Amino acid sequence: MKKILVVDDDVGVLEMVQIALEGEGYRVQTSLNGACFQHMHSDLPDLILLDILLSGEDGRELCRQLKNDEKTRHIPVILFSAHFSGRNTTPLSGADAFLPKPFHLVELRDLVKRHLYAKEPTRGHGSSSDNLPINI
Amino acid sequence: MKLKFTSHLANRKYGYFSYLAEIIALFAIYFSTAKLGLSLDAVSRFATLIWLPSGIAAAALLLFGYRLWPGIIIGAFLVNLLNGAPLFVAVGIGIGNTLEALVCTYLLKRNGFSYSLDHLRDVLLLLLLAIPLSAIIGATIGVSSLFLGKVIASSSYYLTWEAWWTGDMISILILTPFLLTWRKWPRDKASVKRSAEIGILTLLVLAVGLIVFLGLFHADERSYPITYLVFPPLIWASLRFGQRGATSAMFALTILAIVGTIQALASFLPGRLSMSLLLLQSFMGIIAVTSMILAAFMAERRELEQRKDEFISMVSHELKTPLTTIQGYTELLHGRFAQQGNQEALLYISKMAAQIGKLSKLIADLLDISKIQAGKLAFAKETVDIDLLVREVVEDLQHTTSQHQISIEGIAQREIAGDRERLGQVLINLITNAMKFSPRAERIAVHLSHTHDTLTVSVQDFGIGIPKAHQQMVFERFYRVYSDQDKTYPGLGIGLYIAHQIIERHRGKMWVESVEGQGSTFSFSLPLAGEA
Repeated sequence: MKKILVVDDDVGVLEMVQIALEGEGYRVQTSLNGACFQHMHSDLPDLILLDILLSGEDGRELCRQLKNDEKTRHIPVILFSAHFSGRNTTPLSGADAFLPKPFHLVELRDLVKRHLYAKEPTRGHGSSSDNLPINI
Repeated sequence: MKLKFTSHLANRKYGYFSYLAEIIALFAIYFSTAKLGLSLDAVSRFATLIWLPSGIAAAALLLFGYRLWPGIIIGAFLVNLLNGAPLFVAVGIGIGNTLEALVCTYLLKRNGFSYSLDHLRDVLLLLLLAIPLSAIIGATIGVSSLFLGKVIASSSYYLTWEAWWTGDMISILILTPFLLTWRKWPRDKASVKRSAEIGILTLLVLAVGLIVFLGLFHADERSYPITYLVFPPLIWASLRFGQRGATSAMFALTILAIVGTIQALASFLPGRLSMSLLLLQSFMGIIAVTSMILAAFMAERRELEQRKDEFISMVSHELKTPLTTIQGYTELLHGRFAQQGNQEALLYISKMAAQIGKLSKLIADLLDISKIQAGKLAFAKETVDIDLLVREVVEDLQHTTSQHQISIEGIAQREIAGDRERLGQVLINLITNAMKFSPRAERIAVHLSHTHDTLTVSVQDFGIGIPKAHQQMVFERFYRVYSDQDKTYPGLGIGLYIAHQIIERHRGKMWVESVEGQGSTFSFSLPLAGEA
């Protein structure tokens, strides 16, 4: 069972995304902040959904750190936010995709599926953001 | 608030020599400008109407700190000593002039004065408190020193004091704000349009200054009352270029006015030069106050507008997070009820989803408004098949209405270079607008046509129409239509504004033709791909 880590400082969004993704058969772990990354040595997630504006933390910076770490750089990271646009965030942070809030669940499911199962050939390069819808 | 003079020197980054260099620099500027002022028909030989050092000293202490006070006292002492003042009189004047700058700086700093003078409070603080009070100190100590040293008689005390006080006040009023507002070079590069405007304004200021104060074109007709000509460029500078524009225009005009008055060319010539300068300086003081207050009002208004747009942007973003949750749960419920085959629940859920869609669109529109205002609305450049786009939008919107039949008439068969999503947004806004304002009509027509270089799309409704007087206002931000019966229509008055802005950004045009009671046709034209 694929494991997805969801990081968002809004409990409402976390619970809703967890229910939606568990309904798709994924194992979902949630966190309200980036502290979860400090203890992430074993049992790595297969995909990370990461909010940009966390309380006191910048999701883009966390994403950069993940992508600079040999152990975690292969994990696809999808940034989501109500505040930023994909055009500005994904290339700079090294994220694999960007999902603007509010989103439809079908968009979330498609994006997650695409990055979970299509990542092997492009592991570590984060190249799939080119085809994403861009919110301007 | 404690005044710090030299005690902190040891632990400062700058060394002793750079401190000394700063003091010498201030002394040199103070001394040379003072020398110039005293050469211009000073009243009682010491009180001049052109006293740049006061404005320079106040600005220097405000910008670089109280620690530069020795530059002022040495400059004032030496220049007066060399001008013939006895030693103790020169010391007294030096102390008075230094106290003037220190008190002015203290009063401003103590009251949280902002150097950009962007608030009326700052301008009033300078005009009503710091300038008059500090100039009183400088003039009283200076003139009393002259009197006690028997340089002037008691009969000329008031005249000397008046000239001293006026000279110092005008100097701080015109020169200090000019130096403060130019303490930093503007960060943003001016656009071509703005640079052209700055150029034209500069020429106008110079032309007005030359005509009014240097007698250009009317050298022999000195009695012409044309000083009012200075107001248009000053108002222009204040309204369009804020405090920096106002103080710069004022500074330039003052220089020209002084030169003109000294050369006896200007209209302020009732008698001797000192009297003429007094009248001139009073006039310049009044117009400086007017333009600075005007510029502060404008800056406050701009700040308020900016805050409003930032607030709209912030609220729109904050609304998106709960909306994400509501939308997510609605879709989850839809999935559950669909599995159970609960048709009634599905109907309710679809109505909820439609309302969430409306809310989503409203938030997106508000965000677009704030982006347009901030000049941050970004556009993709792609090839757009306009026939296909119109068809898609019409099909989507047809599902939302059972009352209106939306037809497409004509065919473009042309492509446009632009942002497909944004152009779709324009069509959505125009068609939903047509639906909203034709509550009794059954038909809406979308016309497509083109010339060799332009494509035109028109959305025609058969609704309430727009009175002629209101037709140009419909593209303004937050403009809303009210019908004859005072019936209001829903909406914030932003759809047409956004559509108009998007088309303008595509180098296109948008217009409306309407007959009240018969309907409206909103059209936009865009350059064809390859023509833009």
